Amino acid sequence: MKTSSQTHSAYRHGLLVHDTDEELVEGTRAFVARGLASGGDVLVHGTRDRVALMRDAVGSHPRLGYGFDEELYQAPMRTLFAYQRTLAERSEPGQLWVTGTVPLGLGAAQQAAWHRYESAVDEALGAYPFAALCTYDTRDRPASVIAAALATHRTVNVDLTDRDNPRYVEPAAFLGAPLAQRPEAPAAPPSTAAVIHGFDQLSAARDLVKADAYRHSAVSPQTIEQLRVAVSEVTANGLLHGRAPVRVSLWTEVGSLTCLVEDSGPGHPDPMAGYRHPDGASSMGLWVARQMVDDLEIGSSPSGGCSVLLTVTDQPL
Amino acid sequence: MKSQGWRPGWDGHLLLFYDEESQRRAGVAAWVGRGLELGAKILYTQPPDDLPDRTLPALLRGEPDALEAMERGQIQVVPADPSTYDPDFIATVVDGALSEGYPSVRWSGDASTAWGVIPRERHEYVEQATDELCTSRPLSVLCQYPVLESRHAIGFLSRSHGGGLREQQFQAAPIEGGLAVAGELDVTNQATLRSLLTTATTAPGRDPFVLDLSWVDFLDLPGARALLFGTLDYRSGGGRVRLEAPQPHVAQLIHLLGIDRAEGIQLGEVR
Repeated sequence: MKTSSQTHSAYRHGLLVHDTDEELVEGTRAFVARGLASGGDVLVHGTRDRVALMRDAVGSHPRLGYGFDEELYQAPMRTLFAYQRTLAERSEPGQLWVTGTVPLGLGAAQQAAWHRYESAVDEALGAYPFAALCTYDTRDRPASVIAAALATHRTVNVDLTDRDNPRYVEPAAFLGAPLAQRPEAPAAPPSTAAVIHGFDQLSAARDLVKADAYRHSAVSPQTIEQLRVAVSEVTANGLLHGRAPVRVSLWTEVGSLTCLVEDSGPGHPDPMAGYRHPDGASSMGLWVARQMVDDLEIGSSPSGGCSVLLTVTDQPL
Repeated sequence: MKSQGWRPGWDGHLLLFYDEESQRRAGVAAWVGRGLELGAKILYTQPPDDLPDRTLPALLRGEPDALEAMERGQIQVVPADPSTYDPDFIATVVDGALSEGYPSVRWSGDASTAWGVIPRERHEYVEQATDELCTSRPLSVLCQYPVLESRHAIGFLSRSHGGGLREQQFQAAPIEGGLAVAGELDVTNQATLRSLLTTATTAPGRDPFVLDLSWVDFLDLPGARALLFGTLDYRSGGGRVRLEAPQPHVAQLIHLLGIDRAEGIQLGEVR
């Protein structure tokens, strides 16, 4: 459970739902003005058309930048941790203000991944002086996307003021909601599975994952290696913080790989673990694993231990 | 681009670090296999009263080519006694094999065999002399050391073995200006890696100290920490370490953990 003391006092993640260009421009202009007045750096991002519209309406400033979604918003977790890295490495103490629209997913699964991204933003970026205003246009976003946005932002921007959002759902709960479409282990039997009893078997499990991935999928070597690191860290966690044996199962598709790691330990998994930038040595494994794969879901295994589902894909996510 | 032409392998004056008998067997079998590939004369020192399971024929029981080579005399067992560990004796035997027409010679034995017939201090001297013999002749020597009894001596051992150290998942060898590492660096061998790095950077000779990572296929968090902590003393004293030619996924982890931004660490070109 995240305590409010872990959130930076200058952190905000707000939502602006609009149905006209005027509302968007007004809201953005006000946000930019506040950001610049605070001495911070401001970034307005969007599609090329949107950015052009904003540039005309809002203008320019030495501390104001514009960015294109096609460059910044390629894949949800990549984007999230890129922001985290930027914030963690900022040498200037001032606040970073960012406003724009999360992309529309190419399909339901991709869209849900962006919903889960929004839900994880607070956990991943809450420790930094970061102010975000996510703008959602009802004209080009389906109702389900608007609903998900309302469930994942603590504050909504109404009449240029931030108000507490009564429809906000805590991240752990949101993950269980239909809108989140949380990935689950495939029902079909895995392509390969290994049972790990100790650290001396880690290497063999890694080799098995790599060999099977190469044999049965066309996923790129780099992606396979990243999955291998993530699986190794998560499995080691299962041995260290959970209990042996740890079961590692792999499902292979031509363009994607899914791996499930289940330990026999006490359980009590925290589904939001591994998002925060680690300040100590502990819990770095999950933080690393989350950045190596496209999706990582933490839950409970049938035996009552922890389960971690890792997904990588070479398809655009 | 791999630096300086070092490749992992089974040649030179090598230290084989093993945890379990199965690792020792696998290492010796691989080393013998390499010798047979080269057409080398292969000598193996063992106690005359060794346990049957630990003898060379037992170690090679799954290798028909090796067993056949034993019958032909290409592979020869040398009973251990104090004279076996006399560098002059070793040189004589090696030169004898070379004059018989063998292009090169290989010799192996377990350190515990030596400790059974000569004092440890004498063995340390023999190791250093062997290291010189391996540079003056086409001689490769594989010294098998049980990890449990040898971990404390890793500093000396790595200095006296020019071919480097091999253990189950990785190999490390001195190269000009630094150390080359190959294989998988993970939670199981991070302590060894850390000791090796501490030793290697204690008197490196050249700055920046080059750590060739081009042959490293896998690096995890504990492995990455070993890279950091093994070089910490050196870097705290102002020394610099260049991580050379890591593979892309290894470089990615190094960058993600901020290791390339640590004091004294430089990241060389990514492969």
